[in-house]
Amino acid sequence: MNFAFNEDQDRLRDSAVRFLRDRVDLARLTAQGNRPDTTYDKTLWSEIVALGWTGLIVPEEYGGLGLSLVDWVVITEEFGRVLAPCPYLGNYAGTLALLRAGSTDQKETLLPQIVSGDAQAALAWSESEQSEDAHAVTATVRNGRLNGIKRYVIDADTATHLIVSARNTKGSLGLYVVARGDGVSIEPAPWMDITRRVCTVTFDNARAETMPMAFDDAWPWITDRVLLALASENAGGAESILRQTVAYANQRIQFGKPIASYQAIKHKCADMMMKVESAKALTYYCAWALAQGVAEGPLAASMAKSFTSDAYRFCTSEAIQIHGAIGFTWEMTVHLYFKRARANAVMFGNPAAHRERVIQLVTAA
Amino acid sequence: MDFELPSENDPRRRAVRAWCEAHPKPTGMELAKAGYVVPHWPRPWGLDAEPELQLIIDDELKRAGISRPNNPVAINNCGISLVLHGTKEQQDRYLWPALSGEETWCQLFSEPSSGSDLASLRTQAVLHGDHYVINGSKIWTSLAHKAAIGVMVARTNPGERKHKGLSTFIIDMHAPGVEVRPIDDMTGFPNEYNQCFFTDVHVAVGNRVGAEGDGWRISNAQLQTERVALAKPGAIWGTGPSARELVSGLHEAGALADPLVRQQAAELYIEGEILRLLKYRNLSDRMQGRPLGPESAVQKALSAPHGQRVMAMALEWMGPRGLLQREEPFAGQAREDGLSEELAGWSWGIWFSPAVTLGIGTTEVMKNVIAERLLDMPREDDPDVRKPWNETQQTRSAHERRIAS
Repeated sequence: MNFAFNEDQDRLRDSAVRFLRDRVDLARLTAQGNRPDTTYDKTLWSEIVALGWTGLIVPEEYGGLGLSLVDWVVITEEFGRVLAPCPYLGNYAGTLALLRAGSTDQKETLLPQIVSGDAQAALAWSESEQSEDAHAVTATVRNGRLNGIKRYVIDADTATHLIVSARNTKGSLGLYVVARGDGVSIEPAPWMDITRRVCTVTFDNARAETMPMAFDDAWPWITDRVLLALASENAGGAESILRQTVAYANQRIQFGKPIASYQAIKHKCADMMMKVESAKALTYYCAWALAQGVAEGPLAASMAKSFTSDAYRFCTSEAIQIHGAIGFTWEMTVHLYFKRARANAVMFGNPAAHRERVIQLVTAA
Repeated sequence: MDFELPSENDPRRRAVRAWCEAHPKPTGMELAKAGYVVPHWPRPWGLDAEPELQLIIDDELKRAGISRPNNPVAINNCGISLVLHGTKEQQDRYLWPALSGEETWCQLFSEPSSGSDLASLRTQAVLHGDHYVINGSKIWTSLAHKAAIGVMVARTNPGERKHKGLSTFIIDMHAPGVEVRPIDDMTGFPNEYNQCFFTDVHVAVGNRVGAEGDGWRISNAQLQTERVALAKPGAIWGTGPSARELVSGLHEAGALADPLVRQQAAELYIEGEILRLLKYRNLSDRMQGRPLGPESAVQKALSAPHGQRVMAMALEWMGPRGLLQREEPFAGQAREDGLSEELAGWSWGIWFSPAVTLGIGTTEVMKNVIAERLLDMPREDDPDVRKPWNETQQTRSAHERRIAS
């Protein structure tokens, strides 16, 4: 038994920490009077591609690095820690769908392009306002042409290829590859979390290519890994906001002392740390369980998604309170974390939906 | 990352299994001499066992249905202080009867006026030639009513600062001047705790452990050497029922049809799994010889309130039936820790649970530890810490007189 990262993983983390610290500048987003809609940093993304980090979990035969989910979590957690404004998550959601459900031909064609940055993927599945039920799909494919509307598609506007859930003429649900082009219109949503791009995608007779795997075989595998990515972002973001908040409390003087010396503040920070350490433990266990393919993998994914979402929301709420009024201003980065926490919590199923899945899985045996 | 335990074919495992087969009903002394009572201690009492071997031994004893002698204070807490700081004579006289379970031990630390602030304790040990004379009172002493031996921290130098003037003693609990009074607690179950009174109790100099003034250091070192253990899933300090048992009990009773119950049950189940993982992480740090990470203090601070929530949910689900004495929510439940219901069942856990955020370290103290030691936030100011202890007592008695008048 060894609940720790190995030396290679520690090195991987170090390189991610150094790279992201140098390259990600959130102050760009929080300058007074600057309310950007488009926040992605193209230079940052091209450097990420150059590092090979678009292919961390893509097998070497498709040009990727062929690393494990545990390695992937190390990097993803760091992206979450700094809210790196780039299509890292959306691209991986699409990549995972290709890895799981794509034909050999689709994988051989698309995956090397995704790794090299020539292509970029996104996963389009939700049609409802709530973004909960993956089976509530009315988008249809007839004669290789897709019609329908998909909402809350992460990183669609920078993507070249969309992996889309839709029904065929017999009504059965499947996944399709749609290259961006005629019949695909993408409208960025006015999304509160400005470190991430989320879009509405309308398909009007767009050319769609069938993916061979049955939807219900593919979908849990894909989403459990997306849940792991979200949990990693949540754990990293929550730890980051804890550190920022402690640093602020140590330097803010009221009544002649740093506010960090008051027990009311210390106990809030201790509560945050308890959530952070719990979130990390669940996330790492989930990474291991999915990587090893043990039976608890799906259970671990839902536990991690629901708990880390609540933990991240809790920590970012407390962060604003401990910062005081300054934490409520646009110029502080606290609100970016607060909003990311709320966005991640409701994507791919909210905490209550995943607690429901936990009980289903625990009582199924 | 690897969450798996040593395999069935591990040679260490096979060796322990062979011993168990050769000794199907071992005496406490046989287990002690084999090193299986405290495998993590050095020889001859233990096996210098690395954590993985400790787990294997736990596993194999459980499989063979062999339980260790029941002497938790000696085995889990105080015994190691004799190993690290005791004389040869003390080790020879006390350790084997302790490990074999022949002499039960108790730990004489807390006092009526020294709870979280243990180092302020008042019990005095005054040197008279070849012995000390002890006067004072200790409280919340588990097992004192059954114990032959007590390990005590007492003040030997009142003119020193509070942490410096303390020494450790081995006390004969049957000596003249020792009185043990049971404390009836709110559970209504047979007493777990006692208050002990010491009136002119004579203790030979040879029963002091370590040097005079080493008492604080010795009791702190003891806390660093806790045995690793996986097999303690219970929600009340590792004993009693667990969150997993709550969920399976509710499931079998049909209570999970209610969506609100499902949500709450899932939350507690996830918390229980988090605590399990934090224990694994602690264990793995020890196995790899790494310094302990933050999860150790975090685990302690999380587990007590979690236990209270598990008990509260069981009680609420029971409705009025939960107020009946010794009533169990789930009939005939097979327990994860293999203990019988009467010993540490739901009814006991429900009414004992208010204590778990008090004993071992209150939640407030644990949060201070997390904030100060793990997050490097400023330490609480203790005006007593730099003064001679007897000066702090003058301030304190003046304060107590003011309140009384």
